[in-house]
Amino acid sequence: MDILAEQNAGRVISPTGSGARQVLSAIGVWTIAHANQIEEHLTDLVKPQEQDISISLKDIKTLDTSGVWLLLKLSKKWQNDGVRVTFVDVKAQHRVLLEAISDAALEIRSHSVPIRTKVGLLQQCFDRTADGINDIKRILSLLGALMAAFGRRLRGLFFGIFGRKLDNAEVLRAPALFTHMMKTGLTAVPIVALMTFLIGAIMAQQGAYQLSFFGADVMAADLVGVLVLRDLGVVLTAIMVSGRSGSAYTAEIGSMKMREEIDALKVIGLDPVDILLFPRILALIIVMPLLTVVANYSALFGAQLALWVYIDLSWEIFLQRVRDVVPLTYFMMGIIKAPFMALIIGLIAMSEGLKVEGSSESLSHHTTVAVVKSIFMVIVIDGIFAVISASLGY
Amino acid sequence: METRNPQNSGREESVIKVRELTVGFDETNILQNLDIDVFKGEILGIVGASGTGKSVLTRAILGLNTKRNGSVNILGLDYDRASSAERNLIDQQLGVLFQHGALFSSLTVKQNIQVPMREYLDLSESLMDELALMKMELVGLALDAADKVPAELSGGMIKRAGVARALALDPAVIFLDEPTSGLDPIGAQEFDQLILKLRDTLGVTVFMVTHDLDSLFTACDRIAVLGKKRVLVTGKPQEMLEFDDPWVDAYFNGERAKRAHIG
Repeated sequence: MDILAEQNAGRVISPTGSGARQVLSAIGVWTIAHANQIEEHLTDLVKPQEQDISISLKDIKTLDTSGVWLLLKLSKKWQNDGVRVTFVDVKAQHRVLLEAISDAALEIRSHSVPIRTKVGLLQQCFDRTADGINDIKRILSLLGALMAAFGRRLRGLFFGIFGRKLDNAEVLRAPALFTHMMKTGLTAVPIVALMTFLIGAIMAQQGAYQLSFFGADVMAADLVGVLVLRDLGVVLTAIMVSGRSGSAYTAEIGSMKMREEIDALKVIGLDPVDILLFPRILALIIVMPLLTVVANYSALFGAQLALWVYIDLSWEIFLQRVRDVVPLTYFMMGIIKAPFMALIIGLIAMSEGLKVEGSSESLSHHTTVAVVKSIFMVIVIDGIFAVISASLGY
Repeated sequence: METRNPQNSGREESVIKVRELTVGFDETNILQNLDIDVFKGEILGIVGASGTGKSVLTRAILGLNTKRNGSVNILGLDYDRASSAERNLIDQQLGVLFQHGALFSSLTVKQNIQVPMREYLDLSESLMDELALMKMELVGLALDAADKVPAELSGGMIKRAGVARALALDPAVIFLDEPTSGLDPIGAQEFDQLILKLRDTLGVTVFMVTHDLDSLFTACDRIAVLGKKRVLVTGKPQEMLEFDDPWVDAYFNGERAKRAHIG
C-alpha cells in the first residue's frame, strides 16, 4: 500500500465507439481525498441521452466508501431523470463495498432530518425572561435549603451541649469547613493584599495631585480612608473572591454534576447541600469579612506609603487624619456588607454549578456566567447598602 | 482455523511494523525491545494483564507517548523520520476509537464525524452531511442520533459514534481500545459482528486492545499477548490454548475462557 503514490481524481468518461447500449467508464481514484473534485466533476457531467446506460467500474484504481457514495448519488440523480443506470465490470472487493453502501443509502434517503425552527426575537425575550425568573427561583430555593442546613447545625449545637447523639445532618463538618476556609481565605490573602495595596497607593497619589490645586493635598488621606473603608475595600475583595473562589466552586460542583458524583451522594443518602454546599458557603461567609479587613489595612498602608513618598506626609499625620474623618461606623458599614456579598457569590456559584449538563462547553459557559453574575450582584448589593445607609443618615 | 479475510491472500503485508520499542516512565520501562507486526486486513487482538502496557503500546504507535528507543513503521513510513506532509498522510490513514469514546462533548454526533473531514479536506457541506449519515448507517447507528450531543447517547451508541468518527476518512487501520467494555453481551456481540463486517467490506486493518474473551474468539484473526515488557506470544486464538505460560494458560483456559471458546 503506497499512500504517497500520485493519484488522479476519479472521473466518469464515455469511451468512443459506443454500441447500442451506452457504456460509460469510471476511472481514477474514488476516495474521500478527492471527493470535492469528483463532486464538482459529477455536477458538471451531462446527462446521457440514452434511456439505459451502464457504468463500468473496472478502471477504478481505488475506491472507498465516499467514492461509492458519489457513484450511487450519480446513479440516483440520473435515475430520477429517467435514465436507468447499472454498474458493470465490478471487481470483487468493490462489490462488497458497493452492496454495503447501497443498503445504507436506502436508509438515509428514507430518513428525513428534522428542520430546526428559527427562534424569533420576541420568543427569545420570553425565553430569557423565563430563564431569569427560574434563576431567581433556584437561588431562593438553594438559600432555603442552606438555611435549613444551618438550622440543623444550630439544633445540633444546642443538643450537642446536652450530650445527645447527633445525626449526620446535624454535625458541622469541621474538616471540610476549615479546608475551604483555607482555600478561599488564607491563600487569597497575598493577592488581595497586593491588589488593594496598589489601588490604595494609586488613589492616594492621584488624589493628592488633584487636591494639590486647592492646596489640600493632605486631604488625600481622608479621601482614601473614607472610600476604602466604606466601599472599595469590600467591593474589591468581593470581586477578587468571586473570580477566584466563585469560579472554582462552579467548576468543582459542575464537574461533580457531570460525572454523576452528586447523584452518587444522594443515593448514598447524603444531602449534597449538607456535604458540598453548606461548608463552602459558610467558609466564604466567614472569610470574606476577614479578607476585607486585610484589604482595608493593605489599602491604607499603600496610601500611607504613597503619600509619604509623594508629598512627604508623615505617618503620624496620616493616621491622625484618618482617625479624625473616619468614624468606626464607616468601617462597620464596609465590613457588614462582606457576609452578604459572600452569600450571593456562593449562591450564584453553586446554582450555576448545579446547572451544568453533560458537555465541557456547558461547564465553561456556567463558570463564566457565575463570575459575571456574581461580580454584577456584588456591585448591586453595594448600591443597595449605599441607599440604605443614606436613608438611615450615616 | 483458516484466515477469514478474503483480501488476505499469499504474502502477508505489514501495515504496522514496530521494532525494538522501549517506552517507560521515570525509572521503569513499561515496554522493552518490543517487536510486533500488524498485517494488512487482519484483526489483531492485544491482551495482557493490567499494567502490562497495552494502552501504552497503542499510544506509542499513535505517537501519543514518547518512546525511549525503537521505531514505528506505519504503511511503510517511519513516523519519526517522516516529513510533516507524510505525517499528515499517515494520520489520515489511522482511525482511533478511545475506550470511552472521546467524542467532543460540545459537538453533535454528525459534527463529531465531520471533524476529520473538515480538518483535512475541502468538501461541500451537503456532501459532508451525506457522508456522515452514511458512516452512521455503516456502523449501525440510528440516524435520529445525528443531531444529538454525546451526553444524550447510550454507552453502545457512543462506541458506535466513535467508530464512525474513526472511519470518517476511510482509514487503512483502526485502533480500538476495549471496544466492548461497558456493553451488554448482546451489544458486545453485535459490536464484534460490526468489526468483522467493517473488515470484510472496507478491508480495514483492526488493532484491538480487549479483555473480552468472546471478542477474541469471534472477531480476532490473531492474538498478541503482552507480558514481561514484550510480546509473549502471537498466534491464532486456538493456538493460545496450548501456549505454556502461567498467565496465558490462566487467561485462555480459565472458566470464563472455556465458556467463550466452547460455547
